[in-house]
Amino acid sequence: MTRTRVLAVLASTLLTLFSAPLHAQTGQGPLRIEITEGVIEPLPIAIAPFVVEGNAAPQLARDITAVVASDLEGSGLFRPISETAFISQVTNFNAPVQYADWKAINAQGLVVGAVTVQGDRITVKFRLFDTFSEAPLGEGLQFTGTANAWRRLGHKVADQVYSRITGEGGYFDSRLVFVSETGPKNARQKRLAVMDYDGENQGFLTDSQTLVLAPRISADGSEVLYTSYATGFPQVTRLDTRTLESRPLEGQPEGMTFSPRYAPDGKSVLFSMAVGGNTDIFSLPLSGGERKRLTTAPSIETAPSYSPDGSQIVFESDRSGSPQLYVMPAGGGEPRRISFGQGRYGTPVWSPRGDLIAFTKQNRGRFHIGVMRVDGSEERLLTASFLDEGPTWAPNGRVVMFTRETAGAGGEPSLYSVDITGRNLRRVKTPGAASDPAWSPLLE
Amino acid sequence: MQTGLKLSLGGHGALILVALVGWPFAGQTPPEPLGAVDVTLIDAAALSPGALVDTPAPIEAASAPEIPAAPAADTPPETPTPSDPAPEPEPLPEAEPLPDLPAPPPVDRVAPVPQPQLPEDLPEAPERQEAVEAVPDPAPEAVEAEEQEATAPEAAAPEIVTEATETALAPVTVQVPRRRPPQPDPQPDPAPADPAPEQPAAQDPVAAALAEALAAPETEAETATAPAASGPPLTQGEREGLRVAVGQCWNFSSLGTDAAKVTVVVAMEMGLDGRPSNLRMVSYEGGGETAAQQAYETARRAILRCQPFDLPPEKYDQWQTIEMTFNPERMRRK
Repeated sequence: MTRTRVLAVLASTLLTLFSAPLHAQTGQGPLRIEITEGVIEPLPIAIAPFVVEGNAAPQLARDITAVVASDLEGSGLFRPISETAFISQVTNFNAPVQYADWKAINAQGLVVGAVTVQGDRITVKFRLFDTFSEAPLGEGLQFTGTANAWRRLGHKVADQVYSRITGEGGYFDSRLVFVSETGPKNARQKRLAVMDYDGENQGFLTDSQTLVLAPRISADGSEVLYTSYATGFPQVTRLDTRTLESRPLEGQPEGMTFSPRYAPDGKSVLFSMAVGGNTDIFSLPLSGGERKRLTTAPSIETAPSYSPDGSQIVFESDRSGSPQLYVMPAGGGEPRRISFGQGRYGTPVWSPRGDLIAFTKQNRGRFHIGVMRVDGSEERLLTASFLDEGPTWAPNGRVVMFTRETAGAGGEPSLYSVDITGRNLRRVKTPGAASDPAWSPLLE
Repeated sequence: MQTGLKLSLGGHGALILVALVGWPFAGQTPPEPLGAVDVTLIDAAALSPGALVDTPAPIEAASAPEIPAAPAADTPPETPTPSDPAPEPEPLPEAEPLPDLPAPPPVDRVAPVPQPQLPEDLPEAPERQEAVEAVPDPAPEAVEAEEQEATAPEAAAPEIVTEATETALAPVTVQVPRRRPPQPDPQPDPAPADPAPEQPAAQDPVAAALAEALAAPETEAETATAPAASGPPLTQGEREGLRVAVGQCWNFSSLGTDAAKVTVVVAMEMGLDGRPSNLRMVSYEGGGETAAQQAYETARRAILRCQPFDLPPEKYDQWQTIEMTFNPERMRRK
């Protein structure tokens, strides 16, 4: 038997050897065509209702399936196919996939999952299939968590599906810190609040006694930096998200400090300080140490944001006469202006991918959220409205969230997200008025 | 010694085979073991709901000091107006943090604001639903074919004119009817027909390689016996028809940012029935390997979804091997 196999291999090798040149001689060479026009539409994907294994509650399986579908649908890149269109049902996680049935409904991907419950632990496993290639896409995975983390389990699955198909990281298992607002415009109460990226599991971090602004979340999620008016002046403040205790940032100078931002490694922070009409940017190690003044111009320099490698800082400055964006080395130094379009630019934020900078732009009475490359080229406005401001990046650098405020006395701020292509503008579900979103990295 | 020689011969043979065939499966989904891998979530991680449950109930609203609501998040407060700060800053509520409480009662902590049904108004549902409903019963080809007819002539027309004017040598038969019947019938059994060449690859590369190598001569034989190896080239219209057919299935939206910059060239062998096999990525540019792989998978999906292609059998010689370049440049600007 071995012999026949060896012979077969040899024979095929020889055949190939001879046939290759033959092909070159008689063949015409391939027909070459170039495809430059495609379609842009959400990818149809089938998410089979997750199978209930053991004594898991059917409702839990349905809920987790719904989280996966909602995440993918909300990204704007996928269109979960209605279950009523399904030809075959998945009742066993390990059953062979009937590809023809899924191709027939034009499902280009198929997610199969199962839910198991053991005591307080939920296990969710899934597989993803490329129906037209009739092959699994990546390997099966399972996630385990406590009962109250069931939504996160759904987000984890959706993140995997998203990243296997698009080739970039997901962003569903993440949280947001924001300012929750209540009350009329002239007596607005603001509290720091936190929720899942999709608006679920909301909670508060501060009471409504103190005006708070511009929260930032640390890379590990254990801490939030924000600007507090507890003393009457703006002051950069740290808040421990486990104990909810807050205290002013140690080592900051006397004066009005605001606009804080973590370094990518979480070991230091940037902030702005205003003294007599001159605002400059400082860096300060969190573990104690000397703060460093990074800008010295007699103009207003503020809204600093690190590049993801920590080597550069983008910020806003009006040294040219109107607010524009500048980039300088992280240790300070000569800034380089990167924004040259019409209007005023502010609140720049460096993408976690490092390739783009998101910003707020005001031009001819309209506000925009836009992105540009880090050298200022390829500026692209993603939104336009009465008031859009304060972008924050999704962990994968593909989506930007921001505050949109409506006009008039009854105008209220709310959170919106938009894809960096400018597509898929969506309002983010919040329990009431909300502003100043800060997106966390993906949770562990 | 005999066994050693055999092994050696076999090994070298396989190596040569791989070198010749060009590792055809490199671009395809690697044969993954299906075993489920354990990944465990950190439960009570920072910011997990449990850590945040305990917000103090809203405290008296009246005492809020008159602080100018600074408009923009990050704009410097030009005039601070520290209007007589609150009598006692009274730091944040110490209120029982309960760090280890597992799950918060989800909602109802929000102030008595009427909860607006926010996301309802998003305009997505109607058209997508409709798309779903439309598909299920007829074979997908039917749907596709229909769409192609709608768009093909439009896109093709200007090109034909251009072509005719710029190359005098172009055959006058430019108007050759591009047959595009609804084609639900070409092969009643679409599923089993095409997966054959691709699927074994995922399971047993060696067997597949063998099949491949053994199949090759057949193709050659066909070529040899095929009529006039130098038959008329495809008309611009025929090429355009193919471009449009594939383009309609090339869904650009699910490409990642990096993959959307990669141009990939996909080669395939064509059967007389218009079905491609042995798809592989022959080259790419504009990005790294991972991004290229993603771009290739999207391109392959387009080809597999839109097959079989309607190409004139009498010109089979011209299209028995096709190289399609998927260039995203124009799509990226849309």
